[in-house]
Amino acid sequence: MAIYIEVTGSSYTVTVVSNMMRTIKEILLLTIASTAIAVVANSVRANPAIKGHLSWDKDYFKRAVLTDSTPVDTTTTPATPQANPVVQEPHIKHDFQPITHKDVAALLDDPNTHANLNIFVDARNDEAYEKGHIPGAIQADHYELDYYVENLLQFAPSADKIVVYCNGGSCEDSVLMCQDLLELGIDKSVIYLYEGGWKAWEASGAPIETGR
Amino acid sequence: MIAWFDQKRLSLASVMRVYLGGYFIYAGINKVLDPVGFLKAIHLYNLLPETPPYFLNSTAIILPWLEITCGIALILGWYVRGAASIIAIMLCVFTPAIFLRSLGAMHEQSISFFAVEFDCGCGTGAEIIWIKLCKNLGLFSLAMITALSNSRYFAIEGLLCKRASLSGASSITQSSSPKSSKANPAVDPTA
Repeated sequence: MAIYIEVTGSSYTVTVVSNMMRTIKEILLLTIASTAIAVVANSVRANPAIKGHLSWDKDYFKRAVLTDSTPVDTTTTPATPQANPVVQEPHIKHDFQPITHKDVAALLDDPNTHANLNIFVDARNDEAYEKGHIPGAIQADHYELDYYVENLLQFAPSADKIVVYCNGGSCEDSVLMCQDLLELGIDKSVIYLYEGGWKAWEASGAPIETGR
Repeated sequence: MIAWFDQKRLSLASVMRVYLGGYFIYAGINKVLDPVGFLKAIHLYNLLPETPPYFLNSTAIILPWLEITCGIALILGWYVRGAASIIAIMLCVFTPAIFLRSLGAMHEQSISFFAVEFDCGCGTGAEIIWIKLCKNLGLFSLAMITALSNSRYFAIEGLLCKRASLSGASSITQSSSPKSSKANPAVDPTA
């Protein structure tokens, strides 16, 4: 819609353009077009073999509750002094059994670990996992569960201990992953949450594995 | 003032339009490539309710494509006012949100405001926030100039209007005074 006002008798012509309706129409059309493209692109990614799909109605954050209380486990070091004491940040609230850094490190040499009876689940994203993870850890990102579920179910149901970790501190991904394991039918008694997570593991100088 | 940007053959307003479009295509593609990262980022702002999850999820799914669509529209010069207005509205929402989050981070980490750095979920990675806020103000200015500008150099809208004008379909434009035509050498597509 355009309104032109011409001031007669003057060399100066004032043109007032009202574009409001036209702009609103354009905004609506662009929004509708973007929504349509987004719906199609997201549907294409719904294939479990492709990453990047987001569900419209899944509550990805429903179980994570941040806490400002004191941490459950204040250090990852054992009672005896160690070269690299790692102070652990307060972890978010959860009702899974925590496992200390010492116990996680001990599991590395456990024969059961080599027999895939103890498994480590890295709940971080691709980039973080590829930069470094606990040796032998399998990746399972809560937000891309459809993509990882097959690999997870290959090992998890027969495991005696499943140690889940993410970055540590305020990272909520490990708690969300533990909940996913429960929903997949894994017994809660075999699920352990390593609260110190990657930060504590890396800082302790423990062995790491990079890449896939 | 906007007319100043439209003047001359170069038409600064058109250059701004193409830059703005390119920037939002880049930012949008980065978000589309990592929708989970974007979902986590917008969750951290606590602007949208967690339940029902539709708000957060649909924002994470649609917004990146809205940015890309607007970016393409700006570069092509098609629906320029609408695209620039959407970008201006988005910046009006995001910029204060980033500012508030940076204040929170400043208190939480007990650091200077100028030292606050995080990934704002803008598609450009972790950045020093005060610089990001300045950039956003610049982008908002570009969006406003683009939305108000009549310049349509290198734009589909300009070509279409020129064609319409040549075929005699648009007579209103021709009624403008010679002076205003000179100030806006590109055909006014709003006619």
